[in-house]
Amino acid sequence: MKKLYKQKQVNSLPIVSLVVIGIFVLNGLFGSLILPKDPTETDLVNKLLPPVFFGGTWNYPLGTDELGRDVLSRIIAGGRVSLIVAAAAIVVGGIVGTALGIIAGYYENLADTIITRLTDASLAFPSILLALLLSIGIGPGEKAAIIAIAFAMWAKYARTVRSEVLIIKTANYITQAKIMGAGDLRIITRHILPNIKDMIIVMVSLEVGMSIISEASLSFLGLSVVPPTPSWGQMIADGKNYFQNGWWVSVFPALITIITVLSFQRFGNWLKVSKGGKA
Amino acid sequence: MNILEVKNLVSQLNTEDGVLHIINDVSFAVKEDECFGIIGESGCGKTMTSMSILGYSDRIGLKAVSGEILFKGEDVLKFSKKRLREYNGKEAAIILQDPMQALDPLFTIKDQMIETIRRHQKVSKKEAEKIMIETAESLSVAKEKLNCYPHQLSGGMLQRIVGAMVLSCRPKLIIADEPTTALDVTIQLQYLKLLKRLQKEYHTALIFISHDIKVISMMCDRIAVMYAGEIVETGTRDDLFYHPKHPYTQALFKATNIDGNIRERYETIDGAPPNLKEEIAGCPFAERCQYATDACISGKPEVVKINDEHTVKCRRIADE
Repeated sequence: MKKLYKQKQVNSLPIVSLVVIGIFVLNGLFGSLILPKDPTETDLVNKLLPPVFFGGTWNYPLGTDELGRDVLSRIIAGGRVSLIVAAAAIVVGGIVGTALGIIAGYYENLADTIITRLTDASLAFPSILLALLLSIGIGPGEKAAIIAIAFAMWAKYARTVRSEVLIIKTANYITQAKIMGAGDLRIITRHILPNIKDMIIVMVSLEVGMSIISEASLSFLGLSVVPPTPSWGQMIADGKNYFQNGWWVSVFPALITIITVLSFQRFGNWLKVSKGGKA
Repeated sequence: MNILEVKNLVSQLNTEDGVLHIINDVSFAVKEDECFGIIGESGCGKTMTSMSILGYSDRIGLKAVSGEILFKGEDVLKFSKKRLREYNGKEAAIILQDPMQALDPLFTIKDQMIETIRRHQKVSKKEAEKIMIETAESLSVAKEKLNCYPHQLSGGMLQRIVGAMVLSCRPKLIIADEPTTALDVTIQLQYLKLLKRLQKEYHTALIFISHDIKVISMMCDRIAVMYAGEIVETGTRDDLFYHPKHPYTQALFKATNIDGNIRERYETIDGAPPNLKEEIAGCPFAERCQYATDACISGKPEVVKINDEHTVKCRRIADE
């Protein structure tokens, strides 16, 4: 009995995660208003100053980097890039993937074969390589990062949505609606989309974290936003060369990335369980 | 008066593997107010026939090659899209097999019923609600249940709600495609009695499709036996039960204890139904029939009239 009791899952609201997500979103939208310093202003006299509790001053709470820029300000400014790129990539990838998944699952014709093969191909194609190619083609920047991340993600949506649509479309109420003369568009918008809505919401919440990580990786490689605009991945990359005398330059943005992604994952899992899925 | 006449319907399904001969020369008529049963094993074309009657065959790729389906003298196969939308639900409606999937899980029963009623009748929301409650009560569905979502109710209750939905539009013809297969036995009987009572009350014709002889015998006035896309025997319930002529009908009855005698062993029919990919030259049952002759395999049997209602498609009877 005791064991059974222990195994019972309690799916409590992840308050800490929600707070972190809230801060992340607000920071992305309004962070530029509370910047303590200009994140791009260099000050070589004050370069590599330590954070406040490691011998630094309150003037630079998280220290400065190799060019004397305020790390805190750069993290705040970099959060905006993370939010924009992650959100845009999710929207683009999610919409494209869902639309293709519905077409493939609902019609099950030649289009289905083509979409399924494309899905397989895109899952086999490394997104970093695509980002490299894109940055050659259209130059590195947010746009290249968004397209690259969206391209890496749409296939997951397409595949999951397709399998779900295959199940839903055989339900009797769909047959009945068809017999009544309902068109494909009506059936898709009225019956199929609402029925996969929950699943898509859960997928999105779980993918946001992955999307932020992908953006950070691309930034780390210099394939996302171009300096001097700061981003978390870029800061980690900058700091790695000064790790021995300035660990804070890369550790703080890395920590922030981890905390944000963890919060999104925790929240996504909570959402999934509360929508009836398994943890 | 016949409300529905199916005349020499031949339909084919084009699949990746080739043409399937789903319905081969099917003819029958359904009278107003009567319950007409179609019995046959899985895959013999029962459901496909009902889909054709609803004019739904085109959308599932079933092509009617020849023949006609006359609903009050109009050919359903020639209906325009607009006419079909009027026809389905208002004049002919179907109750499908699995009630658990019959309703969209995202809307309450009430929402879905009112939508259906207002789709076919020009009434206000209030009036639609009144019609809904009336029909629900005639199927002994409590008012409170109507505010539930489909997953909150049992299969028997849901099938009654589907019945109420269909009846609320007062169709002239209802097709019940194995409506009780997904229900457990006690609920089955209850539901069938209800359906039978309402069919009489609402004066609708009912086509009852099943593979269960007992259920068919309980429900139907006249019965057609279907095999491999053909109707091999038609007759009143008594004709078929006391004087089955076609060897397939006889074999079907021998496989059950419908006569009340519990047998130690039930007879089975050897072999399997024919492959519908090939056009069958002779009688479709010839391969499994103990009386089959060479003539049965090579040529189609004629329809033999035994009395006004009772017809059978068998060479052996014709020869007698």
